[in-house]
Amino acid sequence: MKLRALAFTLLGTALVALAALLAREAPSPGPLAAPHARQPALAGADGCPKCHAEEGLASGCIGCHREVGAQLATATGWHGSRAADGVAECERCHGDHWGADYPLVSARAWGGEPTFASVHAHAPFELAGAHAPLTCDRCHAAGDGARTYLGLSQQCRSCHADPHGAAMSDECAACHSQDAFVPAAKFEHTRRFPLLGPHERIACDDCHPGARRDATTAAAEPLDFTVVRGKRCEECHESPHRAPLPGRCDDCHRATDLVFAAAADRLPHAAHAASGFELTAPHADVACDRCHEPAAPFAARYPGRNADQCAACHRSPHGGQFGAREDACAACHRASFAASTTTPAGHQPSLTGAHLAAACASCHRAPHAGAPVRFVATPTACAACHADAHGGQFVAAGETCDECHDTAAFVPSRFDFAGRHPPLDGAHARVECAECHVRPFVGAPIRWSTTPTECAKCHDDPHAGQFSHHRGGCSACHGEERFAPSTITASRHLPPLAGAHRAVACVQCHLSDARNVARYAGTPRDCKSCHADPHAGQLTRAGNDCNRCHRSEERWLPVTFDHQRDARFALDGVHARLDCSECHARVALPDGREVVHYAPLGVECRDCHTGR
Amino acid sequence: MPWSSPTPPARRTPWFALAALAAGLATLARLAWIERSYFTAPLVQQALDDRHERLRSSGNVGLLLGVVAAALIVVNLCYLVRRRLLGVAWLGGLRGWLDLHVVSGLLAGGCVMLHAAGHLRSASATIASGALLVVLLTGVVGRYVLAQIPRTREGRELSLDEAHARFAELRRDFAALGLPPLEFEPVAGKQRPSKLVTLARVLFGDPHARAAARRYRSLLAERSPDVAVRARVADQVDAIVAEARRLARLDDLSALMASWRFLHRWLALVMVGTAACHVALAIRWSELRLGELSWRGLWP
Repeated sequence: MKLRALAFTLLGTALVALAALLAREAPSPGPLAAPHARQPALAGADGCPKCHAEEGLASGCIGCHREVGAQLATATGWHGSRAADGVAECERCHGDHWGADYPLVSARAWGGEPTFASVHAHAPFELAGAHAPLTCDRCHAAGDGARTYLGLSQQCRSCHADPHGAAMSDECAACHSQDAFVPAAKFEHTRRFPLLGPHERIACDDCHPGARRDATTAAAEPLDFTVVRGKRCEECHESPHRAPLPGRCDDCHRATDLVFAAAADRLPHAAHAASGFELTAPHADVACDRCHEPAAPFAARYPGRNADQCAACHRSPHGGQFGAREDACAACHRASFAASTTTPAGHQPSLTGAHLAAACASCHRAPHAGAPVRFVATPTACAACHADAHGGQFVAAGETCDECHDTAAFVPSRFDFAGRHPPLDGAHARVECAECHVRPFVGAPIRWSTTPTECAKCHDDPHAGQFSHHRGGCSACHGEERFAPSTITASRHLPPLAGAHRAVACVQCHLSDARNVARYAGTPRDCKSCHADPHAGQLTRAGNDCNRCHRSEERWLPVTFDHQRDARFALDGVHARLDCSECHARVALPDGREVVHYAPLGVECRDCHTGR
Repeated sequence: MPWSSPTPPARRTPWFALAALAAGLATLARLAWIERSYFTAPLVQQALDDRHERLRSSGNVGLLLGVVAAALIVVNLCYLVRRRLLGVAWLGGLRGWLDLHVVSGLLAGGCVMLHAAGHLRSASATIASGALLVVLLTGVVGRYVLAQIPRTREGRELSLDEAHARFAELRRDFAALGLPPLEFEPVAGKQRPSKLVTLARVLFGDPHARAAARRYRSLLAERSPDVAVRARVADQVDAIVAEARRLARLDDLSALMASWRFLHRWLALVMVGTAACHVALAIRWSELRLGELSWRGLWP
């Protein structure tokens, strides 16, 4: 029994010792992942401390993965950004001893299925442009088959061949973006030479011969942009100007001009003058393409004309009138063709009077439609230019215009009134000519030589024909000085006027009718035609007239009435001393008037004396 | 008289021990069921799983299970100490310690299984786990064998004299049924079968007892035409035959238990030694985050 116990004790001790030995010599809890298993230094028990360092597992890991250590130390990159989260405990994401097939970098390590956006955002290298769609292993592929996401240099040359060789800077990103190598999007050509207008489209090697790629250059030859043909215009462009122009090219030409000739619009007048053609009026404001045909080739467009070669652009409108002087436009025309330099003073023949101020075109006109304006052999007769305002009244009499008119003005004329006009008296001597010399009808010339002398031809008849058959005519009653008053006096009045009638105005008796025509012929002569009856008809009887009592034309009173003789009641006795009104009282008529009651009046006592 | 019935009453495990065992095993079983896709996955797939951080052996749940397993093993070993200190009454009864021994052993085995996460990755872990498994199996078997040993009502193993006295009672009971006398006899010192044969008979049944039972049933059928009475009596016959056979095997079972105890303890010591190596190895090479252990992780 003791032997059996001893045997089991020894066996148990051996088993425990074996376990201890295995724990010491083969402590691995499982096969290492392939990348680690390939490292000889990590093989066997001696390799354990390489990772499981005394300072901790992270220290051991960083001992080999120095890039991670650098990230942690500088707090950069994926690991550096997570140092605060405990990523320094490497085994949380990158456990090992899970077999050779175990991926040390897995979705669990990334904290989820990794994407470019989620993973590379923490790397100090932003993936954009052409880098964005690349698979990871395009950049993160170690040459020995192992894969790492660390340790890549951000220098472009670490992945890309440098087409510039040593000619350019190492800072590729200063010019190139991740979108594409060409064009160099970040290169600011403007800082060195602004690329404007057509310069934007030209090939780089047009200016940079070192960047030329053609059959004569080797493919591996570096692209050298440091050599440039020049920055001044003349270093690349030949001047097409025949004569040197003052100033700099960019005085006229801008880099944004699509064509060289586009600068012509900005050509300073001074520069144009330097070409032999001073741009003064009228050319100062003319658009360039009026003289320089845009569609013409450069040489034809800018032929180099002189300022006096008007015919190069202008066609003479004179139709050859000036003969040999036809092309000498500048002799007459300067600033404006329309405004000739020929002044009235220099006109041949000389101009006087109103002709000095007249427009040239008043006299110089085309003889017919389509013909050039006539300057040579222009007729000088008045009738050549002026219409006969008199309708031939004087021409027929053989008289000429200048007998009455000069060039100063047509009106007033120089007509010799005293010598040639019939004498005018009275008011006729003071009236304007036009009062008598009028147009007989609208459009007719003023009548001069055939002007009638009858009063009625000029004056209206205010008497409406009452005296049309009077033998003496108007002058029998009216003088030339004035129409009113007439020359008729009381003594020349028919019948002759007497008494108070001599002093009354004509119109007191010659009243105007409805036409406002004073009535002269047939004017009534009885009193009542002019005077009102103050007796309200008491004394009107057949054969009884006003002059029975009022015989004097001089005045109304005293009357020639004799009560004893002319009345039916003789005034005797006391009646002779009575006042007239005692018997002839004032009575009121039905219309309100008051009259003295004369008749009929009774002659009986009781007619007056009633009950007294 | 130690007997009040033909068979001694079965010893009942305290409810709190059963409750602790059930709760512990239910917790572990639930965790294993919920996370079965992890525990059954290949090693690499486990390592890539999001649950790996929790459930791997050094994770906040896996490591907790390992620590608990180690603690349970320590508790489990306290039973050996208690058996050496039988005179110290304040330590409680030996049966209670045995229940604690059984419960802690089973739970430790479950914890170790989940701690390993289905994979034995290192030699030390493999040896320790294997040793634990063997110890656990021997413990289960030994506990079953121990239950087969006839005991007094107080739980003490019967002595040979007590076995004879009990056998005489059974013989009388048997004779009262009108059957021939029992042919078994508890005899000490006779030539015993090998321990493996004894163990096989314990585990898989005694062919002699089965043959005797069949014989007595045949006799019973011949002598009792009443089917109902025959069925009731047949059960008594089977019980008497089985107990008589155990009493007759008492010496064999005692010898088997002695050897089993030796082997169980020896395996336990080996297991403890290898487990200590495993723990030492983990402490040496792994960065154990004992501060991150998650009890809540046991109940996901």
